[in-house]
Amino acid sequence: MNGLYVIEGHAQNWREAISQTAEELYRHGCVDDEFYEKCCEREENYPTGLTESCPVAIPHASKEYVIKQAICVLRLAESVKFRSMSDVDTEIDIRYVINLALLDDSEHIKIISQVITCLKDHAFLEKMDSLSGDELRNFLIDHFFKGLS
Amino acid sequence: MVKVLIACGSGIATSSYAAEEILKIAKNVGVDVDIHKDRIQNVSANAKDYDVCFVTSKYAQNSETLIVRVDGLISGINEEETIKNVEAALLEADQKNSEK
Repeated sequence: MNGLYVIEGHAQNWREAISQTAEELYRHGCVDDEFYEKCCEREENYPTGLTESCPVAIPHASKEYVIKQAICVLRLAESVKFRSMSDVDTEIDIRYVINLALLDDSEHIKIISQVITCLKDHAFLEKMDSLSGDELRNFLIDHFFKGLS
Repeated sequence: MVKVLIACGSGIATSSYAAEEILKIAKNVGVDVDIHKDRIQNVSANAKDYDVCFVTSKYAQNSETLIVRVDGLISGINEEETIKNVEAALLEADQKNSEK
């Protein structure tokens, strides 16, 4: 069983953006109280901003801090800077933070594979932009968890 | 059989995706692979046990094992070039193994 939460809001910087997603996951009992710090630690060393044309960051932490597998999507009213995964010296304006609280089972590979495949499609992002929060949640559940129970 | 190490920051997310993609590429070029996943911080210690390592972030080459960056598989930037690099690395490792 996988949870998917969509939140919308403002953040001053990448830490605050990650904090909002981590808090939401914590509130739903999906992650422990160290998860936020571990996500930040990871982001500092190995940033997860995708690309200019795909203004999405995919922060996460290792499975030790995950209780129940879930994804929290934060849609930002104004973009915040995350560093790029490909070029750690470059900053990218991020509008969606997709925090992946994953366990290392066979399902998580399928989920991450579907998330990344979806995000590479420009039309998918345009669709995300056009949907309301509730619609976005259903849309993402259909695509990210496709074929999973 | 080529022993492959795939590493990302957490050893769980992007490396899992890259592993799937690299498995497909290996099948396409007809190379049998044995894939293990790890965290990037363990690569310098563990690379010696593998024929080739793929990493999803910047990594300073400090090992005799060939290390190839594959973040293009995830971001989609220069994806075709990345796939070519992966193919070349797998074929090279396979060739070396057959000469042993």
